[in-house]
Parts: sequence; C-alpha cells; structure tokens
Amino acid sequence: MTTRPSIDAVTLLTSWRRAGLLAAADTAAVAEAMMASARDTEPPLYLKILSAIGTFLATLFFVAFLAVSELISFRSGTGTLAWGVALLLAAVGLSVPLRRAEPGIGHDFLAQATFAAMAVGKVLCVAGALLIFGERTPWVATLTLLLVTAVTYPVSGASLDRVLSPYAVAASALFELLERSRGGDPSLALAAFHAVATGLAGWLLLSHRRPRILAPIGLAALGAMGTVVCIIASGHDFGIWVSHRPIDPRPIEAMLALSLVATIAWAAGGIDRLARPPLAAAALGALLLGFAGAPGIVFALLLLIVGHALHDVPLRVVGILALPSFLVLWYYGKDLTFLEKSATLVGSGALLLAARGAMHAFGWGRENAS
Amino acid sequence: MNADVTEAAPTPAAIRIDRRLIDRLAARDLVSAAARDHALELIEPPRRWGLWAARLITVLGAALVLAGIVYFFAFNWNRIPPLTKLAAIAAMIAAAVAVVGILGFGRLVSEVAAVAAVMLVGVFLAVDGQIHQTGADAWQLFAGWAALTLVWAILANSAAVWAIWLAVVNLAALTWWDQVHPFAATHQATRYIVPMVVDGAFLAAREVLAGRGVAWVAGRWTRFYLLLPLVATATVAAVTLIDRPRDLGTEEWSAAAVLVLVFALLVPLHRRWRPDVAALAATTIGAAVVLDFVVFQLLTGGHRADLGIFFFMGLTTLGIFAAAIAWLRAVARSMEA
Repeated sequence: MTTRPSIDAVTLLTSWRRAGLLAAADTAAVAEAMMASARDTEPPLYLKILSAIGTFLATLFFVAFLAVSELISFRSGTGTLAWGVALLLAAVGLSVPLRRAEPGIGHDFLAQATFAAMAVGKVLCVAGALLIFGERTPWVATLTLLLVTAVTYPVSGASLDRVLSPYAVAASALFELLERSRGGDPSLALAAFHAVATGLAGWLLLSHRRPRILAPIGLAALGAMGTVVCIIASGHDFGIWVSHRPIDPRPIEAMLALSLVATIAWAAGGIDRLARPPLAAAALGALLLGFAGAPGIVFALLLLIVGHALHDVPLRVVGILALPSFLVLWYYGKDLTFLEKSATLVGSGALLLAARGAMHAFGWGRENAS
Repeated sequence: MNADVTEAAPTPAAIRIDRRLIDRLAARDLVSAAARDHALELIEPPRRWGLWAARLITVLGAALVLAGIVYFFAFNWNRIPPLTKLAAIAAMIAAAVAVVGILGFGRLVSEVAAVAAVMLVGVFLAVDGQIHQTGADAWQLFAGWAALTLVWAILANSAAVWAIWLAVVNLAALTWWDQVHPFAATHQATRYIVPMVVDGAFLAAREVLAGRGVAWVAGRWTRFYLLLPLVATATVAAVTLIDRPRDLGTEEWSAAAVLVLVFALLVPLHRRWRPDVAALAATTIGAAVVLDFVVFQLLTGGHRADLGIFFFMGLTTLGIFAAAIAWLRAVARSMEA
C-alpha cells in the first residue's frame, strides 16, 4: 500500500477515458500493466533500514571472525584481494537462488547473507588493492571501487548496495581530486565533478524514461552533489580544510542556481510554464539566491522541490533538515559584524514575508487558487 | 525488483496509482504524455504547490526575522542595560502572545507565534540567570522553563508547542540526572527512566486523543516524534543494562521493569490498538538490536569472544533481522487485508 498521494486505478482509467486520453482498445492493456507494476513495488523505507542495520551488524561479526581466525592476513595484499573476490563470487552465487526463493524468512535470510557477503567482499577488494599498489598511489581505491561496482551492480539485488556502492566511487573520486591535487587549483576539477553529478542526478531522478535499474545511481549522484555543497558551504575558507587551497565556489553556485530553475520548470511540467507569473517569480528568486552565494540553501530547496514532486518522503525529510542547517552555516560563514548579520537576516526574512503577502494578494497561495 | 526485501502481490481492488506507477506506464509508452500530465494533475493539483510554497516562505521568513533580532541583541549586548534586555525579551513574548490572542488558535501564523513565545521564555530565563548570577544549574533552568510554559502548552492546543515543551522536559530530566548524580552514574541505564516514562506517557496520551478525533494531535509526525526517542532511549538503556549484568540494585531492576514494559506495550499498541507498521518497525529495530546483544552476552558470559562466537553471531544476526523483516511483512499484509 502506498502512503504517497495517489488515485485508485478505476477512477484514473475512467478519467482518462472521459478526457479522450485513452482509447477503449488500449484500456485492458493499461489495466494489466497497472496490475503488473503494482506487484513490483519498492520495499518500504522501514524494511530497508531494518535490513541495513542487520547487514551492518552481521558484517562486523564476520569481519571480526575473519580477522581473529587469521584466515586473512592483512599484510598480504594478494590474499586480501583473493578473499574479497571469493566473497563477491559467493554473493553473486547466492543471488541466483535468491531470485527463485519464495517470499518468507528463508528468502530474507538469503538476502541478508548476500548483502553481507557483498559488503565484506567490496571492503576486502579495496583493502587488497591498496596493499598491493600502496596507499600513496593515486586513484587505486576509486578504480577498484568502480570495477567492483560495475561488475556487481547488475546482479546486486539490494537497492541499498546499489546506492552506497556508486556513492563510494564518487566520494573516493572527490577525495582524489581534492586531497591529491595539492599542487594545483582544484576548483575546475571540482566544478567538473559537480557538473557530472548534476547531469547524472537530473537524468536518473527526474526523467521517467531512464532505465529503472539506474535510479539508485541517481541518488548516489545527488549524494555526491550534497557532499560538494557541504564542502563549499562549510565555513569562511571555502574548502581549504579539505583541499589545502581555497576553492572558487562560483561555477558550482551558478550550476546550482540553474539546476534549481530547471527543477522548478520540471516540476511545473515544462520550461514553457516558467512564463506563468508565479513560476517566473519563483525562477527569479532562485537566480537571486544564486547571486547571494548560498549553495547550501539552494541545494536544500532543490531537495525539497524534488522530494515534494516525486512524493519521496526521505528526500523531503533530508531537505527539511538541510534547509535550517545550511541557513545557519551561511549566516555563520559570512564575514559580517553582528549588526550587519542582523540587518541581513531581518531584511531577507521581511522580503520572504512580503513575498508571502504578495502570494496571498495574487491568490497563488490559496487552496482554491487557479 | 529489490531482492533485499520484497513485497507480496496486492489484490486488484487495492491498487493505488501513485506517481511512480504513472511514470512507469509513460516510460513504456502505454499512455501518452498528455495522459501522464493529466494523471499527475489529478494526484497533485498545481494549486497545492502554491500552498506548499506559501507555508515554506512563512516559516522561513519568520525564522529569519527572529534570528535577526537575536543577532541584534548579540551585537549590542554589552551596551544594553540589564533591565532593558529583560524588558525587550518580555515585550517580544507579549507581542507573540498578542498575535495569538488577536488571530486565535488554529492558524499557521498563530502557531508560529506560540512557538516563539515558548522559546522566548527560555531565552528570558537564561538572560535573567546571566544578569543576576543566580548560580542555578542547567536542569533548574529547563525545569523552570517547562513549569512556566506548561499552561501555555495546554491552552495552545498545538502539537509544535507541545513538541518543544516535551524536548525541554527531557533536557531537564537528563541534565538533572547528570548534575545531581556522580559522574559514573551518567553511564547507567537508570538515567533514562524519567525520559522513558515521560515520553511513554505522552505517546499513550497522543494515541488516546488521536483516537478520539482530536485533530491537532493526530498528525502522523507526532507519533514518530514521541516514539523514536522512546525506542532509542529504551534500546540504549537495555544495552547498558545487559553490558553490566552483575550487581543489579533496586534502581537497575526498576529500569529493567520499565524497559520490559515499554517494549511489551509498544508492540501491541501499533500492531492491534493503533495499527501502524512503520511505527511497529521502529520498535522492532530496537528489539532486534537488544536481542542480538543479549545473545552475544549469553555466549560470551561477559568475557572475550572467541572465533566460533563471532561466526555464530554473524549467522544469528542475519537470522534475527531476517525473521524481523519476514514478520513485519506478514503484519503489513494482514493490516492491508
């Protein structure tokens, strides 16, 4: 059962027929597709959390077992890598009977075991590669993670694994770009990284024509965007703490502002809808926020709009938590006196309340508005 | 399909079409772009976006103005005479109360004003404590804050006001324990008895009132606002108790009794009396973690774990959580039936 805004199948089919949007001959096929799609629902978030906690604890116990038993010597890179590959193969092997297993406790035990083997295997593969090539060799962890993710992604049945694994690749790449580029300016590389993450997130989360199997990569890309935003929004030094050089945030801020405008257009149903007065005002506000150098606030609004449009509760919750956090960071990070900060806060708050008044006056914020 | 946790097939009569299903139909070209837009407008009429944006802007705008006022005081703090500081805060409290008085309860603006009034009482007490150097402990500030705003919370009939009031009470209970008891006692399970009893009592009251149709308390978030801290503290307290199973005194046994009561009541509460599978899942997560820890303690007897125990615990953990998932799925099916 869905807790998102929804309509019952019969009412929708009737409405389509009445509006001339569905031919009588196609109705049966659409109804059958509805039935099939309804059977193939996403598991609810609480089951994913339960599964993740169980897998995490079991993984800790298995890693402790491997370490205490000295089956794995963490001095030998080849041995560690071999164990990692063996566990990944075991996970792939377990995923075959998992697909055929009937729903029940046996299925869930097998699913948890597969997820745990996959997690331990990936960790050991990366540890093994680092031992073989040395921690100081650039891009080893990223390439190993990319390889194991690419190989296991099609067979991995766990939706959480499909999000975390690509995110680990992105986080590792970000580390390489920032931590190992001490000689040069990382701004351009970071902007390019953010552009790729934005493109992937936009395509994989907002387009309904994207392959469903790739949707978790979209979430990972959104997580990567959030990580970049956290870095540049985290204080006065624009990421010096992580890159050892100041990062120029302006290209990323511009991208975020444009992304917010594009998201508003997407949520409204198309770029042409931006010509409508309330949406034009919203787009203008998004661009002004871009000029204010508030990447965190723009990103939080982006999360809220995407979460609201997709009826995605976790995204909305993250957005709700992110908005006040980034607001506090923005005002804290600005190099202003308390009096200037006070004036800025009261001014921006009054501007928003005036906008609220305007919405009320134009009828944009009423339940019965057209 | 997700293999980690799968759902059973729904009955045809129970099919609800949400955005994801419509997008899938459109992606397979079973329905046109116009039909997709039509369906999305039925599910989420565009006017709701206006309402949503209006509420967001109201809350944000009020928060920014309030924060600006706080910064103004911070800038001029040393130059403001003590009486003026207190008078200014009192004036803001009066203004907030006046807004509620003029507009009446049940509107977003008056709810924001009521929340501001309750928060400002805490600011007033903190400033008063700083000016007069009363030497009071932090728990006394929180307890006084809760006592002074209790009547407002009762009158306001607002879940947001109660949420803040309850957070203050929990802070009072925890800081009281930490400041009155010796340092070693801050790691005892008994520290959590008062918060568990308070949160548990409020959860019970919330469920009774929501069941009687009291609208302002019935928002689903209020259930989780009370339940999640309750389960979290119960889990931490249980793990703390199990970690040191010897030399249990009266207080520890009392904590154990409260813990058993909490878990024993929460399961039927959200399984039978007020069915909510997501709330039941929160309790199940806590119970599964506690059970896992109990098995580990039983196997090790408080000593170092050996090789076999780690392997056995890995399998046991998978078993416990797989059973929990299977049970929750069965419960969800029976609730939908």
